[in-house]
Amino acid sequence: MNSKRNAIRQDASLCFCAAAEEKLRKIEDILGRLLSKAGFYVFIARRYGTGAHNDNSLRVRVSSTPVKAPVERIDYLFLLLGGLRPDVINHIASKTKVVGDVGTITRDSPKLREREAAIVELPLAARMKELDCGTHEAEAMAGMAAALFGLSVESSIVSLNVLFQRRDQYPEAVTAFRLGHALGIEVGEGILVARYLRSDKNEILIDADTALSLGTAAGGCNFVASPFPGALFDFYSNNAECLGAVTLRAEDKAGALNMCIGAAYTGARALFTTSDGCSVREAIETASFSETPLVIHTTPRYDPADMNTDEGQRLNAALCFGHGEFPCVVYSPVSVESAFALGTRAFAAAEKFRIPVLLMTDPYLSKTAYDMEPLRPSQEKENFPRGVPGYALDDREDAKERNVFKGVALKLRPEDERMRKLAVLRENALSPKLFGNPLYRTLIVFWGALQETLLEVLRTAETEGRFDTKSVALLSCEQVYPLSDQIGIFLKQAHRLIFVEHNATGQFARFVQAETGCIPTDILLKYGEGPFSVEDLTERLQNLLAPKEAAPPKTKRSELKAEIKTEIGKITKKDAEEKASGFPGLPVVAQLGSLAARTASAASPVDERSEGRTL
Amino acid sequence: MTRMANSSSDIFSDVPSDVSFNSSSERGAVEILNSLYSALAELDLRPEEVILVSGHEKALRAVEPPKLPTPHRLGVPYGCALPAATGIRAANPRLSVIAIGSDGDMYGAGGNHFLQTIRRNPNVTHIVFHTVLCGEEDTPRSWRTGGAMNPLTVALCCGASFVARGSAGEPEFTQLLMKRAMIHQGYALLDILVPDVLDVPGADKERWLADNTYKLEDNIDGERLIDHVEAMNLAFEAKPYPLGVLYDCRNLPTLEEGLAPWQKDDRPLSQREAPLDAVWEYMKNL
Repeated sequence: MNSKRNAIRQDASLCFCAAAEEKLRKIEDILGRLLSKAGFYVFIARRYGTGAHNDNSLRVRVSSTPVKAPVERIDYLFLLLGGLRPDVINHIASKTKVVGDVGTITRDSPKLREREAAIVELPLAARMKELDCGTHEAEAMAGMAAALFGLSVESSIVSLNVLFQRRDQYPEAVTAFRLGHALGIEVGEGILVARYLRSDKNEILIDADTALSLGTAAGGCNFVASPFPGALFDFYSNNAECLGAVTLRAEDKAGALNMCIGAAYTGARALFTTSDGCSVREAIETASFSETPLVIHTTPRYDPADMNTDEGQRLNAALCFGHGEFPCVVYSPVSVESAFALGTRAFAAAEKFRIPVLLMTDPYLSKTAYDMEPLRPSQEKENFPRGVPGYALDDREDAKERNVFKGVALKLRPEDERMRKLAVLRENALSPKLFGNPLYRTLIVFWGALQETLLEVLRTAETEGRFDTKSVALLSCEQVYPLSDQIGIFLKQAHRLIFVEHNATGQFARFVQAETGCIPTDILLKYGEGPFSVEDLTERLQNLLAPKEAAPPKTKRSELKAEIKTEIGKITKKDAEEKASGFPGLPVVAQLGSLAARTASAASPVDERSEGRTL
Repeated sequence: MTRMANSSSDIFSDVPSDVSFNSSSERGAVEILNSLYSALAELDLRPEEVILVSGHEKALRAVEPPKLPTPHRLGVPYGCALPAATGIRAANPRLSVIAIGSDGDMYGAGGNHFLQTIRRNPNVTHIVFHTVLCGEEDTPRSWRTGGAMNPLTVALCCGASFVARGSAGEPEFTQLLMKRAMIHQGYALLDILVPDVLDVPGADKERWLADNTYKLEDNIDGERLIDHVEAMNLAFEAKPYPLGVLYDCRNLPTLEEGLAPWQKDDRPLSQREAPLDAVWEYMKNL
């Protein structure tokens, strides 16, 4: 161990900023592999690949115990070419150490000094130029980060052989890595993580998209069509031979989905992966009415016409993703482990009930990777006869319609059969999972990529005594449609219901209220600025759950009105003076706005401390 | 196209004379229906080996006479028959797939699917009831330049390996074209002029067909036709429109040949198990 390390921490949070996505991807590959293999537990959150180049960053959280949730805190900030990204600035604190090349740091130093960050300027570019490895900034930064965690340069290079050789620039990459490692040792004062590492660590570093791909493959998926490259489609394309899967890239969403319908009709287990399956409602409805088993995976795609990046905003669209009333199932993974399990389950459900199944992955979950136990694929397989040739089609809806033409009467109308199937789906729905005290008084209900964050929030709150966690439980909803009857039982037991969602209107809370009649007490929402972090959610839950101090008595409305009159008189006088001096306008508006806000506050019954909304 | 052993009980037979149709559009498809079933019967195909895909409900009903063994039929949204047909062939190359529909379905709503399917070259027979050319003089339309789309020239430009034109007025000749299209390895377009589909009062559609088409008798004997320029010239000809095979280029790579699952194993995807061992190995090696 390096003797310079004088502050041992439970975990360290690193952040890398760069203009180029490729560099961040390289750092993620190298550092994730190195640290995970060395026995650390790693959590990676990608903030790149969105097409918004101003926001490219990579968060790496390293610990000696499992970590699976994002934090806002940044211990080390590495600035690559392109410098500081706007969305990172607010997370820089006085304890943040910013490392980068002299040129990059100089450009961003005013903002960094404003945040009182500790700046470490390195002659990185010049040294790399001397060593003729100037294009390998990512490897140098990865080497620097590896040194901070006490990884030896030789062992790192050996275990990185595969990665470097793939990139076909082995000598330069190794030189850059060595350079970064040497600089990292110089920089690495006072860090980092307690290295009580398990030599027998069995966990693997896996991201949610890979877990979902493997889950679907374990479910028997052997046909994938997509209108554009995506994580799942790329996974199946790269492993088509060993998985025995057909991968077809279609001209548009309708084309890809209809390819899947055709393939599923003949007995293939088809997966349609797209950015928004709801835009091809006609074909989804066709699949349902013709009882064609199909799995539809949707995740937001970043393009100018589709700027809603929060998957939580798409729930309403998913709940009515066809024109008519037809049976279907909507799953939404809540963690990487859940992505694997639901990938398999989606195909089993599609086969068993002969329905389209929608898999909605949260973009925050898709861009997440962490160490977890390898999951052995399930042997369970629902294999119902269907398709052609050699399988009976007599009980399909369209076959029955054909029988109508042949003069055979139906026992039930197709519409009635569809609704009967929906009732069966409800009976077989995935039960929500309860975490915490079964005799809870407060229940926090969530869906999407929030499970691990909320679990860590409760642990943190308990450790730091933020609020009483003994009467709090979490309810994780992996199946968002149709809802299991169990959810109503859980909700009715709670005295206080808090919903946590990644959208602006509390879509799930409203849907659950409509389905169960249980009215949410509070809704915590976040949208448009990344996922809930541990710190953020802890604070917001603390505001709701911790006993509050007595609020100061509010000023009476009549007193405020009198104050406003006086202020307006002053401002009008001041305005006249300013106009005369040539600086009119703004101060008057600002001050009036401030007073108006105070008046509204006095009149409103809503407690401003609570950011949750009451329905 | 896969040929199976002949079995007199389950192969397609000729359409009986008392088949009745309910609407004018279905009446318009009688000649094509006759030709199609005869062609399937001559190729010894069994009903369970053939799938008809259409984006138009009427087209599917037209090919389902009540007294015949019916092939499998798949109805998909309007304009989407070709992607579905491609999916079927990719999932099970043992099946014979025929995408059948009207010009509005295949060339209009499914225009981009038409172009991209040609480029993929799946082993799909594409039969289109083409009504627009025949109704040119009577049908109100909004085109201001170029007139009706010429699907044959478009197909040739996109690299279609088989392009032919038939006519409802020449059922026997069209039947020969259908057989050649179905035997062809790769995408095969058979555009069939169908005047009866348009219900325009007072128009003599039978005469229109006789006056405005002629047969390319030389091209029907099964020989390869790989002169692209000549095919393009024929495709551009109008009034009279040439009937017959315009272009027939064989041995081009098909979509199915390039797909991973068919390199070492010819079982359809429906008969394969989930690759659990491969998934476990992948996960362990991460």
